[in-house]
Amino acid sequence: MKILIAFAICVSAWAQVERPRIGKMLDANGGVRTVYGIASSVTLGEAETTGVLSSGCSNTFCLAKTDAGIVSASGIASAPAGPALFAFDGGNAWVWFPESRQLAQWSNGAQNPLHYCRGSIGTPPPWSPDSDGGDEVLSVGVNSGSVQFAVRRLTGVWIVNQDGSVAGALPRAAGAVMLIPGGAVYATRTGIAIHNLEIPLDGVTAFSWMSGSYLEVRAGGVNYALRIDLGRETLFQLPGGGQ
Amino acid sequence: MKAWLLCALLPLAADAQLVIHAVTGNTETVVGSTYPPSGQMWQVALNTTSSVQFRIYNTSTTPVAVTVVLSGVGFTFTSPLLPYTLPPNSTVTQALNVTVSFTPTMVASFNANLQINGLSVILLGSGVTAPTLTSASGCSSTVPFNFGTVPTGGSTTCTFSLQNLNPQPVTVASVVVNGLGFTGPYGITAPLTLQPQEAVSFAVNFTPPGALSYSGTIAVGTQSYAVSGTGQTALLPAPALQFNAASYASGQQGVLTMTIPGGSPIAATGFVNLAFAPSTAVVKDDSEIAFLANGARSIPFSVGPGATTALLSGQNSAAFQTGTTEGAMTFTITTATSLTGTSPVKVFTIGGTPVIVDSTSASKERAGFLDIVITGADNTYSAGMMSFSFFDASGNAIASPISSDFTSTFKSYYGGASAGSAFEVTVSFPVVGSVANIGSVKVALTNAAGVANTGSLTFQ
Repeated sequence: MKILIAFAICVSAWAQVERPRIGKMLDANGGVRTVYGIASSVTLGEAETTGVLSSGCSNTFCLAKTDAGIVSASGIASAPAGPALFAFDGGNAWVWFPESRQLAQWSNGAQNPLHYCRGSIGTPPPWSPDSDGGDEVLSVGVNSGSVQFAVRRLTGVWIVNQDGSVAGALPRAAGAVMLIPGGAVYATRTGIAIHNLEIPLDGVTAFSWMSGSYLEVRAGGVNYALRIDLGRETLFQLPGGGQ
Repeated sequence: MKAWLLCALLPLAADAQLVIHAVTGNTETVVGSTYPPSGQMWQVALNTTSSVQFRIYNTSTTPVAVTVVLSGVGFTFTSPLLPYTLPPNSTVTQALNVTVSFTPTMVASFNANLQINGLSVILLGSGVTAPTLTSASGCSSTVPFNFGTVPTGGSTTCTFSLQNLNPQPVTVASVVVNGLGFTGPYGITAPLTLQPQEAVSFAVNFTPPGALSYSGTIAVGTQSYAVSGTGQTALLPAPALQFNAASYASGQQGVLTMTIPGGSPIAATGFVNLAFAPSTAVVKDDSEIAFLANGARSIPFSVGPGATTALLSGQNSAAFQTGTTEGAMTFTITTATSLTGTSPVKVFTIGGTPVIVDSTSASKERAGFLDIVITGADNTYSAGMMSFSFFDASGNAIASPISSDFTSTFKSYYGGASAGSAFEVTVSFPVVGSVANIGSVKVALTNAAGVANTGSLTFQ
């Protein structure tokens, strides 16, 4: 009775129905396409951006790396050559350029959205993947607002904080890695490890963000979608060709 | 001039000074007035050649000039330049070697006179039949050897036996296969010598390049045997379509493999097709239902000769989506290659199901509203009725469930759609007052197939 006094829910609700989308994928021809549908039942939209080397999407915005720069809804920002790794954090993103070994922060919607981190990635003690020539950055991620890196060293695969401290380790045999909120998804010899699960899939070579809930997985020349929501982990194949 | 002079000066030796041996391997036997010895015949297969080496020694104490004359049809000889001077008491290395060959051209008796100075040897020969060629397997047993009907692109093999039925070895100079579509011989190398009663096997392949009748020959020495065969338009055994499940529902991905029972005798290509007929009148198709390799309703297949599994878009299997519409999925194949048996057809009926709930969320962040988002699919295209049960933060029900009918909204959304029934519905409830104590909501969605529940959605 007290509750009813505190508020009232109007019984005349309204509904809006639209076509669901699980995110955007990068197809084999370098085109970014919207993936419509639900898990295991999807269709692809037309290529929205072409000539894309890497792409990543959060739930609110997408970034596509071309040779010329980073393409977003607000335009193209020039960027170092080659592909890029993305990590999303609200309206911002961290971008790692493997070829130039540069880190930048993306402020979505800003007039000059790309800001490069000079010298070192973090604040004291300065550290960057460059400080150890053997480091291969496999993924960038965000943990509590701070950037993290998954790096392969001679000693194994480590999750490294912005200040250079080690936050965790992954199995030495881990292949492709994607840092996700609260952990990491990585390729094993026979599948994908996620949330204490291993989903069988041979030949995983790369992960990228389709949305906040889905990763695109490339394996054996085929693209898959991996749902990463805890308890709803699902892997299914994405359509190929020019659907 | 010197040699002629030497020969002229040599006294003519008496016949007894010369001895003729027949050489067989390392064995020498003295030759009398006939060769072979009386009662035997030098039997040689027709149109084949047999040779005998004669070795002539001089047993006297003086040199002897030797001349050789051979008269008789079918016989020839080779020797060093004649006259040939044999030294006294000639040794093996000093002896005169004369090779006599006999090549009969008909089944008959032959004889010749081999005259060596004053010695005369009567050669007794006979022409005998050539080695016998018979088919062991793979073609008819009578000439012409018929390889039967073979699909174009396919091949069949006939095994032959070549046997010497004569009582002496026979040399086979060559075995040659002639004729378009026929290749070989395999497993035999000519020339070869067949011992009495010895048989050798060899194979001949027939690979018709087209749907025609073909003929050729197998030439064994000078003997020719006709072969024949017929090419037939290639037939592919009716493929079997196999699936990773006995039945499918909406919102699934299945896997198809295609096998060729017994293996394919030929190479073939074609397409596996996927058709869909909705069982609802609301939509005419569902484009989600497709092969994932190309996002289309048909994928190419290829079969190699001998293959038991077809490649589908170059892979051993093909994944497909079942979409989000009730109806019938039908798999068929099309190929320009004729099939033995009936072309496969596999139909899966996708039944109507309660709404598939894919993801949910509930939010009270927007001032004055409770927003509930449900992503799912309704393969009956009849959703719209929803019931909302609200709970406080302690899990106590807040008033009675609220029922809402959004059928018209869904109908409008689905009208003319062909990309499946997936939807994302945002239901907004205006709220008056504080929403702090509103904890969660459960939603029941009703369609023609039943009721689906979201479970408890906590307001964020």
